[in-house]
Amino acid sequence: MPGWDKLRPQLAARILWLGSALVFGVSASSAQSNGSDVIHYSQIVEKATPIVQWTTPSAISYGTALGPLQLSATANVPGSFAYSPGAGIVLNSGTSTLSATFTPADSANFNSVTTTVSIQVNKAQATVSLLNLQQPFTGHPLEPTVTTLPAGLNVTLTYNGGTTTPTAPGTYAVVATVSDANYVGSTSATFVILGSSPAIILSSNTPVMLVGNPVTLVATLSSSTGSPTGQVSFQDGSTVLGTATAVSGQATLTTSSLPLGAQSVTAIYSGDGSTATATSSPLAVTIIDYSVTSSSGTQTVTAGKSVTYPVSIVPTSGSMIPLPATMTITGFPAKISVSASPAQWMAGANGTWTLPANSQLANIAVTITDPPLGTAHRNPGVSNARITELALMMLTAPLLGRLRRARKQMPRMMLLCVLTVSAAFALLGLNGCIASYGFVRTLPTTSVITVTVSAGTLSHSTTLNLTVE
Amino acid sequence: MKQFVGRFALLTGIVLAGSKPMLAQVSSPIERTNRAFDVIATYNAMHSQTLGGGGFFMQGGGIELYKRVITAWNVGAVADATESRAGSSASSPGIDLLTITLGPRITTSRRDGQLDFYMQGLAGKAIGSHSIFPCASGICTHASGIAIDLGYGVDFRVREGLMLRLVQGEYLHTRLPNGASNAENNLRVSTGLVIQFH
Repeated sequence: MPGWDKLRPQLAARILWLGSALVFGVSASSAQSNGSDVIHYSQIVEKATPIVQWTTPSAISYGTALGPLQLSATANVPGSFAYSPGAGIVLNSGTSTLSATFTPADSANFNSVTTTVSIQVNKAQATVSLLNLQQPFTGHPLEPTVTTLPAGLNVTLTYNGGTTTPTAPGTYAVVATVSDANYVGSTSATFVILGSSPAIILSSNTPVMLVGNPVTLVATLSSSTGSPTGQVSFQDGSTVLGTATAVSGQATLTTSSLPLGAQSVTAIYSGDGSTATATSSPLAVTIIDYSVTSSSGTQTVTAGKSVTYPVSIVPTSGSMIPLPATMTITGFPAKISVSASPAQWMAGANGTWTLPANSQLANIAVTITDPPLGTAHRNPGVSNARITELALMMLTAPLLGRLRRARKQMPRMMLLCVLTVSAAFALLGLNGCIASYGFVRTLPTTSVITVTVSAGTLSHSTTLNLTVE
Repeated sequence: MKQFVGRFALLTGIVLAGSKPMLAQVSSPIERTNRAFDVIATYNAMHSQTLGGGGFFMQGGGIELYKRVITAWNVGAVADATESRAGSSASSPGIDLLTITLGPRITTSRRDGQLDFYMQGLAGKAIGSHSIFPCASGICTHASGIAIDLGYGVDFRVREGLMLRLVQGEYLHTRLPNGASNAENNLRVSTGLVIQFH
């Protein structure tokens, strides 16, 4: 075909172009056959290289396993990626290189592609805890207990900014810092090396006190390192009575809240920066009350006579009242006088008696005395002067007239005797000074006498019924 | 008071009914001295002491029997029963006081027997009631004790067998309990009628 020969190069060129355009490789060759020249074209078509894209992943913390977020390369042709390191690998902190190799599915026409990116791995946050922050002085270096989460991390401790482990009692600002390639973290606290426990002695101003009245508790602290400071808690069993600050080795608490009965009080020293805690031995404090009673019923007193009421003061424990006591007797008629015995009750003014603190109690005899007639009973507003004069006139005047005549008829002595006796009785009997003579013309009055015994803030009383005739 | 007047009238009636007074004629002094006995009904006012000072009045009446025993000395015996009473008030109790006494009386006459003067000393029992008396149990409303009565009087003859007691003054001492001295002094003034029996 004469025309074919001409067209052959053109066709080959056209195919080449086409092949180039379609990324085809076509080889052509020419050969002679049958005496005619044959041209062969050999065209090499190279494999295409896929376009692979891999965005640099964000920084991750140590402990984060590689995953899709980091291994995220893409290609413009089908194929698969192989990452190194692969998914699930945990990288150490720092900057690492990730590599991805793309193998196209049509490996005949496409090349494999390998690409890399860098990834920043940050250190992870570790938790550091300091324990045993108060330790007694031992003479050897002491340090708190350090724990980390995750466990086992290396931690560096500083004490007041230095690295020397302390030995002496005192307070130290301790900082614990994680020293690890992959973790970071720190914490701070106060580390105290306590001195030896002080001696603490609890005392009170009295072993016995009336309920509701103040008891002063004193805790005395002594230590070889000086006077301890800090707080002392005073407790009645498990009940906190109050706290006091130790000053010059003493803490004092005054409380009125101790309940009735035998109490066991302790002082608990909470320590200070250089002194360990201490607890005192129990101190027995007995809180008591008392009653005032009288077993006597109603009694009747008449002029010049006395009646005695027994009054008992009975403490709930023991036989003494720890505070001065005052007995007040009120409610008795004005003319009545009152006394009390025994003599340990010292009489005061206005019907009061006092008893010193811690006096042995004995039964009290309260004596009510109605003064004799003619003293307090005499009514100064009533006079018998006229009656007396009248009596004298009546009894003596007629007798004087008869005396002369009567002597002839009867013995003079008898007349004189009658006259004398008559006059004497009249004068004595009708004279108002003898006020103890006469009829009772006053109705009996009944009085309720109140005996009140006060001590401190306590006050108890009993009543005595008295009929005054 | 009604009770007292009633008792007084009753006593007087009994005495008068049980005797025959001779009222027919005026007898001589000698005859008068021979009379059997006298019955006297009296009304009295009495001032008594109050315990503690002061006093109060009672009033009452009584009946009295008189018998001459020793004519030469004009000495006779008197038996007297007199009751006096004081009322109560809100602040003070009342009292009934009955005295039963016996004792001698010396009498003398003047103006031909028109006036009889006498003095007497009696002793007996005093009984107090409706009042307040201290006792072992506290307060009692009744009590009794001795009574001593010393007094004088004058009677005026109205007619034979009947005399008017002009006045009788007595000092009466009783021993009733009062919580102090257990004694009381009283001044009693009486008047009344004397009926003489022969």
